[in-house]
Amino acid sequence: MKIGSLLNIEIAGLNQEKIFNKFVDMGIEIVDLIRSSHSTASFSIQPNDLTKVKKILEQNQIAIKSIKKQGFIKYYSAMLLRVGILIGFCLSIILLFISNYFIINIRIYGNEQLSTVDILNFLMQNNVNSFTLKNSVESDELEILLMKNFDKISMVSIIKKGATLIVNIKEKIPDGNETDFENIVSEYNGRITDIRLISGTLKKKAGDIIKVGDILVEGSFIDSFSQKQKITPQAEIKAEVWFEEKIIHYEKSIVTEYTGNEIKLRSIMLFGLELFSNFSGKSFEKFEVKENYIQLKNVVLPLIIKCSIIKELRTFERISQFEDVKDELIEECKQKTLQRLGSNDIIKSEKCTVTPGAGFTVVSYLMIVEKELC
Amino acid sequence: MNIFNYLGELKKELKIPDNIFKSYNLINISGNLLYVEGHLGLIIISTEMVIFKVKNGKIEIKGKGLFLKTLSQNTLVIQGKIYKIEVF
Repeated sequence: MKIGSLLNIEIAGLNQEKIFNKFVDMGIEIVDLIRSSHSTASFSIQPNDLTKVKKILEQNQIAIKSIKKQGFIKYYSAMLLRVGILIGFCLSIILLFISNYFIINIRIYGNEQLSTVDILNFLMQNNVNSFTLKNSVESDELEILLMKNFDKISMVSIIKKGATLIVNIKEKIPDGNETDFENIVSEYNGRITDIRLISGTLKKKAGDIIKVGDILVEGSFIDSFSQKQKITPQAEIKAEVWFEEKIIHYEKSIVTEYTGNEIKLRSIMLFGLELFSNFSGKSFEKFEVKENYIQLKNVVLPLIIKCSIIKELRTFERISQFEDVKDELIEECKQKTLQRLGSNDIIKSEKCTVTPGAGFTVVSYLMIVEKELC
Repeated sequence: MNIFNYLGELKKELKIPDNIFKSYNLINISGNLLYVEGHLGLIIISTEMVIFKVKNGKIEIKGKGLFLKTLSQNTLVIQGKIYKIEVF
């Protein structure tokens, strides 16, 4: 391939020597001049001289049989004619633009205790995601925000390198001497049967009724100088704990349930626009839609696959008498109560109460359990 | 092309007077390439014969498969098998 560009012209006509001399007089340099026959010749010229050459040939009544491009110009002009190459060229320019102005990748380094997903979600909440404009990302502000929202971070640096946002995290070293001075708080309703203090200050005594959230032992004590000192609260506490579950039965109720019919849809989206969908237009009268979005990775364009499941629903009025389902409801209520019990709990007594109302009945099941709170 | 330097060096080495170089110069390279300096226009061109004007006459080149490698205002280069060069 010739690097320089030339035009090869084939001519037909008589008295060609005369026109070659004219070319030379006009400062046109001729290359590879071959006179193949008396009336035909071919030669090459610089593309800039084509207009002058054409004019001289016209004036001397010499016909141009063909003009061929040689060297770089041949490939250049071929490129302009090929739509695929042009589109590829334009796309590469667009991609270059995208990669220069957008953040495509987010990389997080140095996190051992913190989850990468948590950090990415936090960045997403602050409008930093793949395809966020690079200029809109304020690294300093993001660093401060990360420091404020994640206690485990001792140092963070955010840099923009090419199309990648690099988040370097240095986590705090966990302190082995950390002590928990938090109060012992009741998680149950009931009555304390026995309480033995090991450390801290007792707030309840045996026989006291306790509710969820009541402080049982405080993580502090008053020393001999009347100063309040912190201490890890410890105690052996036994209590009668009351577990109660309720079920309300309505004589008339409107029930909505799945029929089992469903339609699965998939669509491909780019920048919120739907590129492809297999939606045929069929749907149900009553339905529920569950949508799931999957962002394609390792693809330059931010393509998102949207998976939708349309489930058919039906609604009807159900009438049932309490007496018909009484035993089932009591058993269900009992099972619900039992689920709340621990493995070492001892059931002391249990009681079922049925309270009728206007159009409904409340089934309540109470279990009194002996439990070690701590 | 370093022909110009070559002619300059030739003139210098052999102490040739300037007026000798004034009209035209021909350099035949292995009978396959002829460099001409100082032509005044083509008279005939074909694959077997090239005739061009020079100062005070004309030069006829005979050969086989002749073509003009380059043709410019002052110089021309003929490529092909050169059998005979005649100056009239």
